[in-house]
Amino acid sequence: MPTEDFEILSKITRVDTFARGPGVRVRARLNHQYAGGRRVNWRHSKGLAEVRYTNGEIWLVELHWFEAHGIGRREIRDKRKIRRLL
Amino acid sequence: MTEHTEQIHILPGGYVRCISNKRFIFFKDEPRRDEELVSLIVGKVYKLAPPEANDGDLLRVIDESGEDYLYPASYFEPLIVNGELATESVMTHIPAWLKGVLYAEAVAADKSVSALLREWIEERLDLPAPVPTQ
Repeated sequence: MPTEDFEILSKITRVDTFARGPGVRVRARLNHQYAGGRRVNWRHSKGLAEVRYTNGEIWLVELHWFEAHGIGRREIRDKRKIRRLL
Repeated sequence: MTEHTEQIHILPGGYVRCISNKRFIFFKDEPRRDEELVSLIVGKVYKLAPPEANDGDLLRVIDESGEDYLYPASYFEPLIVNGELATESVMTHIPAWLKGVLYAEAVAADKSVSALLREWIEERLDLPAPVPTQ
């Protein structure tokens, strides 16, 4: 089984929400996985952070994730590598 | 015992099959919980998006959210097109008039509706024909 480990080294800044509620396409699966089947108002958000990749490189990265009140941030994903820092 | 031909072709790009959906992005001091992402389903085929300048060896995959994100290449395997028999079906609901049109098109092309639809799908996706293995 492949294993990868990308580390978020900094706080996430410039946070913005770009979709919520019905605009979150996978909300049913998010409810099942993270909310015990309850209907939760998920938001799809984005922000910037420093990330260290498995190969040791550190980049400023645009991250996207889903979040909901009482659950927190889930499914943090890498949208794009903006600038190499190290 | 299968009768299908031993033809195989790995798509040069465009589609990959997911083989892992384990979470891989963590905060520095966060415990590594063994979570499965809902944005990927193991066994499903996903479409690749055109790479951006800094993507490196990561794959830009259009995941279940409908958006493209960077994933480790090790989370996917190439989609293999082989000469296997057509055993899978796809069902869709269409208006009666459209079904009539499909029938008329199939009659005009001297094909079955199924054969015509398969031909249209292959044309639309521009998939390579399976090629013999060595």
